[in-house]
Amino acid sequence: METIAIGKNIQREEGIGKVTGSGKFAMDLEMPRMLWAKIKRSTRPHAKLVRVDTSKAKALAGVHAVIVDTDCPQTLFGFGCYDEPLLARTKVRYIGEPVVAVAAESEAIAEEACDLIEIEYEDLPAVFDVHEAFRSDPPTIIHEEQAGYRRVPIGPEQYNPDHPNAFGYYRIRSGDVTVGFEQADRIVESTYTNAMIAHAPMERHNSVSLWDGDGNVTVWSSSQAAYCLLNQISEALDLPHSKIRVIIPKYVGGGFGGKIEMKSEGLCAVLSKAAGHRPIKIEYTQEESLCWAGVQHPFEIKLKTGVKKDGAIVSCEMFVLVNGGAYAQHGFLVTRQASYGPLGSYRFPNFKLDNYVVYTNQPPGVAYRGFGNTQIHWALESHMDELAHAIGIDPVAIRLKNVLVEGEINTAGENQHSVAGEELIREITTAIGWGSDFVRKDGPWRRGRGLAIANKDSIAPSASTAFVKIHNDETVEIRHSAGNMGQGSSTTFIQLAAEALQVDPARVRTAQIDTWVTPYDQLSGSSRLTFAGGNAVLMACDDVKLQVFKLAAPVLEADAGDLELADMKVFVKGEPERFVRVKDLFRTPYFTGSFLPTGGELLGKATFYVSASKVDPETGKCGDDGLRRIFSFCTRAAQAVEVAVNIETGQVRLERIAIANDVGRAINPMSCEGQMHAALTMGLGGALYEELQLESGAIRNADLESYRFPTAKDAPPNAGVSTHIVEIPQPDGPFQAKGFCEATIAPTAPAIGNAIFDAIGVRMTHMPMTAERILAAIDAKNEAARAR
Amino acid sequence: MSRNLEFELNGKTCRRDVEPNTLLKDMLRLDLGMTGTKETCGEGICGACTVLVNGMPVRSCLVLAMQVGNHSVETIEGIGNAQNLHPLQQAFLEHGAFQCGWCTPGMIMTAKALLAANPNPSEAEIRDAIRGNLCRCTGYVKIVEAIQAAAATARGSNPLAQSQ
Repeated sequence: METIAIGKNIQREEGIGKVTGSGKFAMDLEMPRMLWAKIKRSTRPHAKLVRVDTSKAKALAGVHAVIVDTDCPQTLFGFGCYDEPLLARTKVRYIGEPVVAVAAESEAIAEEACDLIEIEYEDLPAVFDVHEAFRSDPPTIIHEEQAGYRRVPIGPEQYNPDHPNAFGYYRIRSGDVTVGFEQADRIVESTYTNAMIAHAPMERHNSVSLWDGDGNVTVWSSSQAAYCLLNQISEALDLPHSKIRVIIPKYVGGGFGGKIEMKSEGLCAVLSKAAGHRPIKIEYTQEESLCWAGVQHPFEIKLKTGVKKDGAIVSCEMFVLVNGGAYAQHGFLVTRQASYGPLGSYRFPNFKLDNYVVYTNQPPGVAYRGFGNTQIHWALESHMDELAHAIGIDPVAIRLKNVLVEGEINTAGENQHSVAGEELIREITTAIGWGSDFVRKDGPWRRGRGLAIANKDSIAPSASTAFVKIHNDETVEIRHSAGNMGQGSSTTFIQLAAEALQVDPARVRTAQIDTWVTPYDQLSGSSRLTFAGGNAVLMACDDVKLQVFKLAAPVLEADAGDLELADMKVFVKGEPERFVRVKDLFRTPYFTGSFLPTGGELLGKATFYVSASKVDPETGKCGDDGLRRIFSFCTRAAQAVEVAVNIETGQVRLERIAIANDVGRAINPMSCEGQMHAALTMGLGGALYEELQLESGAIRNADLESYRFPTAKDAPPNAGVSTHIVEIPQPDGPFQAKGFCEATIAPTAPAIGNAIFDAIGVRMTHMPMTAERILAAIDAKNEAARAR
Repeated sequence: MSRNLEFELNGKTCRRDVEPNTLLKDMLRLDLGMTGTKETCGEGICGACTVLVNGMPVRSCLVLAMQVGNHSVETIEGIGNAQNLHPLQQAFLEHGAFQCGWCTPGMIMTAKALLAANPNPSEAEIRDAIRGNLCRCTGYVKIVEAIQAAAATARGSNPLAQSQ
């Protein structure tokens, strides 16, 4: 199909602003009479607040407001489980929890004021280990009031008095695993874990909040989810949506899931009111941004799987404990999403999964690129290799034997569309030369190869609204609230609208997100924007075209149904010479200038909504309801790697990597590749060295010097990266496209772990697979060999 | 007690009154409103605040404003604009060498200093030069490509023709 914009490497809408530095991010904003906020945070992991003395801070020159919990609305906010106050209420539950907030003339004065605040604590027993916390008789109960918390009811009962620190639970049941294990030729059991890691967006979390004299709260934020933020501010401040306005600049410096939830926007609104309705700016420090703006959840995943000699899985049982930290935040959604991860990759004739997310006195976990799928596929894909070795077949063969195929109904009863399982495996194994000979030994270096696949389901039900306006100069403006944190969603929308309206994409732009102007979108997350937002844009384009045809029909003396639009000319179908330009539909009916003859606007509006099947909370499965849809869509990824492991130092070098993703259809191949490379590098950091080091609830490496993520020298050389976009059409996607940015991060760690095993015969079970851990594993293996 | 400071900023003489403890990045971002220079870590690790002082890449979060007195400072705002992009800016745009764009100004300034010293850098030399400019979004692949392309443009050759 000849296209105007689809499938083309259109330059980013916001590109000029980014390469010239002229684009304004939230952190670049300044307002007249703006004050700076700082937060005094807890130094104890679990303690009663005995005394909070702010008198010296209030007396400091330049300080305009100092607030504690009792100065805030006595509400609780959350994301499905409402458990968190703006400032600690009677007790603190983690090191880093906000206790007092200060607004002052400068950041330095606000910091000085924080130092003058005296807090007296009475320590309570603290629990950090997820097993300890999960016990029926835990050393401490972190949320005594949990039974009374308001919750959004999804799935099975979330609160379980037998596990008073567990705050979320999900289960899946299919077939009978006991019967399944009896049919197995081999059964393999293993446990995989991962460390806590940070999103580390380059633009630290920041915002400006204003509670004005009319009672409206306006927030400018570096957020990735305007309407999630709006709703959380509404809950926290006990204000209706109509009083809240969220503005997100067109430039947001990274998110990765860490900018979905409210940070201090609501708190700073309270400061604004207390300081006489002045705008309050807060910039999280690097420590705050890394540690206390939400982290990735550490998982412990136990797997027991039975296979036949030919590699067919007959039974699988999984038990997962998620360390949720001190507040629920995204914990339950991560738990639920991760639970379905295995079922998007393979078929399981018998399957049983129990997954608990548990409060501990650690910093809260939030969404992190993949919503738990990085952790679950780390375990599953390492385990698949163990299964292959146990029965003596090739790791590729066992995956091909069990991978889902197009049109298959998966273990959860969901109909699978746009399934690129075999295709992805073929792409990466061909690219890496799977099965071919290579130099395995080079001094202290040992080479090995490994592969892994992964998938990520995108949330349903899901909704997105778009407005598309045609101006009198024949340019098109898209009004949408999809946060563009760098992934390029606004350019995707521009390409879709350009194709739908048959207009040069250079004539299409997007508006800045402003919830008083731009319409509802669920969130920029779950890889959903291309699919949900894109469909909404296409529908709004259809709507505006109808309006154009209605206006043009009398001018052309034709029926509106006989018209079509291209290059901003309205044609009579089959008569290209019989047209009127869109700009000529605008006249000067009033002395005020060039507008439509009947007033009004060419403004298309549409909402795209994808519904979900009813899921049985006992089994996590959907029935045959004619829809068989639990998620909007599923996106899949695969990677094959060749690594070199230094057996003297434990160092791992990524020699070559082939990465493949199914995208439905690539709207902008350059953007797709960019996201794939990005996820690969982020996955590499998590696989080999990223780790927030905790000691009794305190994070010991809260800066970018000691929290290392990949530099240009750590990432593999360009010649070593082979990038493959696979297009398996998503039937109801916009031009058959779908999102994919999350699945692509998940295969990296297990592919590397599997390659390490291939190289040195050592199975790594904890990520990151640091040099120290690899050396320890080599030593343990040698020790065991000597003992035999 | 503020002091007089005179220095060259993007080719023009700039006179400011600054406090002795004002950092160069704060003078640029807060006093002068030149927010193209970004800041992430504030301790010289990430490179987002990189500007050129006398042509050398410098972390503006580690330098006092007073230290640039009588020296020349070049920022992202000084090397090109929407109507007249610098070859590096053009290459970053064409190669999609950014995602969120936060690290981009610092990355481009570092690359500019590299190309001034070494007009034909190898990939390893490029990676070595930008190792102190952290990027969380791109994976560096397209950044390396863009710098190679800009270098080729600056040398007046066609990068495609050269690679064939």
